[in-house]
Amino acid sequence: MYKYVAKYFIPSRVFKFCNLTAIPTFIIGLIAFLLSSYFVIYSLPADVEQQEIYRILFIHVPSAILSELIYLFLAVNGFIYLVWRTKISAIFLNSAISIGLIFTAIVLISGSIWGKPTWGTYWVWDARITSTFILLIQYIGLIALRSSFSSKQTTDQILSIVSIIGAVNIPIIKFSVDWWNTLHQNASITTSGSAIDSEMLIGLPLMLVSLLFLSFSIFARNIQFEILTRTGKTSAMREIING
Amino acid sequence: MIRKNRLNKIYLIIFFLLSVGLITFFILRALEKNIDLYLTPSEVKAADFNQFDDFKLGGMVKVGSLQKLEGLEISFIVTDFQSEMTVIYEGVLPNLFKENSGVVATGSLNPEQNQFIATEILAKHDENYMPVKIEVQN
Repeated sequence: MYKYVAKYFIPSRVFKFCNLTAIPTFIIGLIAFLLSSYFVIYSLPADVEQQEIYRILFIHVPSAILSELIYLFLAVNGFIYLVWRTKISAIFLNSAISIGLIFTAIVLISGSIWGKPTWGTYWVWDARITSTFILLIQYIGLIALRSSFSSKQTTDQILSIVSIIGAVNIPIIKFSVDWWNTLHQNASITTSGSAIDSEMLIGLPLMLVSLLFLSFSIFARNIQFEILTRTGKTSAMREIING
Repeated sequence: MIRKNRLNKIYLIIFFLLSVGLITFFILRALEKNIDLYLTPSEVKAADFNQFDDFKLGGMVKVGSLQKLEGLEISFIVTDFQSEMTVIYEGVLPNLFKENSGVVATGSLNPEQNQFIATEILAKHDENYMPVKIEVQN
């Protein structure tokens, strides 16, 4: 398996791939984001209970999904790095942290804005909100750790270990609304179906995909930056950069 | 094939992750009472705590129980479908506060009248989203 997978993840190949895809995915993502924003704001019907304000859902929920998935991605890469010592997974880990931080911040801010008119408060220390706030601190901590050590190898190892430990928080965020009494409502989309009417539900995957494209383009640029700072001086990289 | 030393590393990480998970589990179990944002009426009746302390009471607003008293003062019954508690509140209400809908009230018990005097009301909405059907009348 190693030789089939690993040969596609040589830094120079990944660099080329990222160089090729960063701008197209950004353009596709931006257009998709603007179109689906227009769609969810103007075309979808208002909600019976919450009226127009429920439309924040379409930025809140995809960001929440992404903030948690990106953290799992960090932990998986940390695991692979610790076991197989593959440089590229350390590069992936380093490049994804800032994107996860952005989405966690978006979740908390959009949730605050949403909370005031519906719940009656911007912030309350319930289990869902507190665990998401801890996720934000985890991302900030990882970013702080990135620049705390002089050796890249030490940094990568510490980041891997910390991101694996922090993954414990992800199931807590997910199940916090089931385990404890929270002000935050339960999950709308479960294995038994969706509590969001199918007419409105379509906006969710649209926003999710466009945000995925946008975050991939940032991710690709971060990877390029990360590869250059690590291997920019090698002759193979020089050839690629100089064409 | 995974080499032996790598397999050992995988076991080590899994063991490590499991122990961190277990530690978190026990910490959360120990803090269980403090993590819950609110107590339900049955929990309040079962609990033996200082009645003058502030706490949060949560549940559904019982259908037909919402009454306007003088001024901005209202009273309603919070129910968890097992026991009930009367709540008195004076102030501004959130938009989504209504009968047969979730509510979380901050305040303290009035022991003489078995009432809950609320200082803050938060609305707890459910996970259902339904489109508004505009009925066109010709």
